[in-house]
Amino acid sequence: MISVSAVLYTTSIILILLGLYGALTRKNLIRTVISLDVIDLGVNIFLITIGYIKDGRAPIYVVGSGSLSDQAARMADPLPQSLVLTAIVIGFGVTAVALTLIMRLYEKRKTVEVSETRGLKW
Amino acid sequence: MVSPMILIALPLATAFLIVLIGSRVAARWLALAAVALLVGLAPFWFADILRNGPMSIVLADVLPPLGIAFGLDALSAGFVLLIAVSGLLVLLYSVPYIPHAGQFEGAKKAETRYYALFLLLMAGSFGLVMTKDIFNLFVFFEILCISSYILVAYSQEERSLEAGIKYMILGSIGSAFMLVAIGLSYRVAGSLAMNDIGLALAAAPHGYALLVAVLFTLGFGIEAAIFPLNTWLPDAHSSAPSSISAVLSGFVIEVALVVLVRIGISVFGTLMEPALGVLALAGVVVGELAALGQKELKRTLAFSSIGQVSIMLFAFSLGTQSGDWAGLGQLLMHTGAKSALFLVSGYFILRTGSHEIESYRGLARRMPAAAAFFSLAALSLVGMPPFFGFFTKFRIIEVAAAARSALGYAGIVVILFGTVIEAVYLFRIVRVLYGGAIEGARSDALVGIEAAAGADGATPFADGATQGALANAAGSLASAATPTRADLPALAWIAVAGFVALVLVGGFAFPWFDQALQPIAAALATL
Repeated sequence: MISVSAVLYTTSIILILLGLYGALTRKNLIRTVISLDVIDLGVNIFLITIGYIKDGRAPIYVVGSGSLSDQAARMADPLPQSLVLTAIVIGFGVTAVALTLIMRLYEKRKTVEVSETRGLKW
Repeated sequence: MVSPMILIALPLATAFLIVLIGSRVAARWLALAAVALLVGLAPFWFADILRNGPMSIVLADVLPPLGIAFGLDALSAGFVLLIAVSGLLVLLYSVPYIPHAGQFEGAKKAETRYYALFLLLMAGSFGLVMTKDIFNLFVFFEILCISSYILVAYSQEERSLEAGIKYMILGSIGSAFMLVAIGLSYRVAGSLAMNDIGLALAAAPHGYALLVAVLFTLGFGIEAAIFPLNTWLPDAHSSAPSSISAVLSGFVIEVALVVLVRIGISVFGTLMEPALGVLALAGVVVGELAALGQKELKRTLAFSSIGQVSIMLFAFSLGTQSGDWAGLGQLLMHTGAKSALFLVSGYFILRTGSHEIESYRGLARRMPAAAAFFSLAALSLVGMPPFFGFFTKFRIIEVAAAARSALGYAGIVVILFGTVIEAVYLFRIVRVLYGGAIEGARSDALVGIEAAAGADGATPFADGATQGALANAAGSLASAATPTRADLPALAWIAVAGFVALVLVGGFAFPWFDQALQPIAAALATL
């Protein structure tokens, strides 16, 4: 029986690698940004999986249904979830800035393809 | 004593206030006032820490391990002082400079945002040096990165937009690596405090700790411009407005480097040091050689930053306290010299409208003060006695020799080689500045006017090209004779003089600086 977390870890690593491949190979800047979002998604799934426990419950203490330590043992770890919330907000900010910059570049150049010769010159 | 949390709270609050008010004048004064206040407070924190030892900051009365861990020790207090002072000087330069940096629609409105973003960048830097919590490290890192992506693209020219996008793509990949490293650390430590993670990783399997260390270094190394990860730097630092280049080269990469080294030492153990040493030497060679081949002034300076940062990284990677000490000296020198160089080159670009080194021929006669500042800073960067750079480079070589390792000896060779290359390209620029072509330029302009006037005689102002030639010739004559347009007031020169003074005082009062750096170096290896 494959555990849920194994599936999630595998998914997240595949997503991260897929996104990396896309970000490094695509010439279209919009696709690059989408690839960056795919990486973000993979990382977020990875972080969530760290706090996952089988049949876990929300980390809320309910009076009268067992001792605190008993309940705590079945609670999912809330900390990675709060990290992911922060990471999602930051990812949103980066995407917004990225699209704005690309929009401005499009106004100048009328294309969203990266020029291979210019930007990468040493 | 005011809590050091004001270092983060005040710039953030002022940045939001600036955007809310939306007035250029208010933005300038608010930003200057906020940073000046921090500059005033920073020495007191530093003195307090030297007397009473590290300060830990408890937020909202939540004690560790539950609260968010912040702390100020000799290293972070020293950096707070450095960031605040350079921030203030660059802001003084920005006030007259920025209206010229962006010639696009809505530039006046954008100028208020420049100050807001500048303050966010400073808040991010302060946060990075103060945090003891690895997730907050990520958050401040992102604040720093996002504000610098936008600032790099500030002028909205094609090349700066492109540089900003490139910087952002690499930066985002880096932060994804960092997040994975943070997740892996949390998985093994069950806590986000760096102390706990350090202990947990020491007990974890070697491969696991190495994986975390490599991912973290990949993520953070992009911002710290460690050799193979620094392809964004020359574009970003050369296409940004010069005030921002000064900040990015002056303290942003240094802050990232020191935070990386510090976490590398105290959280990941000494796993990474030899590898970082090798990468640093590769960075010196590649950075300096690439700088040699550049035709544009700011690109040359940006590549030289790669070389200089790699020299610092080499000193840190020796893993001795005297190595850290020498590296910090080099860092302080580089902040002074490179900030001054970028600020002066901003002025050159403003006055000549050209980025190419060749077009600055004979500029020293028109702008003697600017050329003198540039030369002093360049001499120090190369390491000429009696400037600061001589002592710091000498110290690094001394320390490398004392290490008695193959890497140490290789380092001496590479740093001396790098210094020779540095001397070649920086002296080339200085020679162009002091070259005697000004008479030639003036007579060229006169010939141009005569030719245009002669053409006019035949067909008076019928030819658009003739008028253009006349205007050009008159323009070059005007700029050769009495340049007044787009000049920077004394305010900007206070900033440049401040950075140059650091380089000069550092040279003449080196023993004093040396003493001041010792507690900071001692703090580098601890958390």
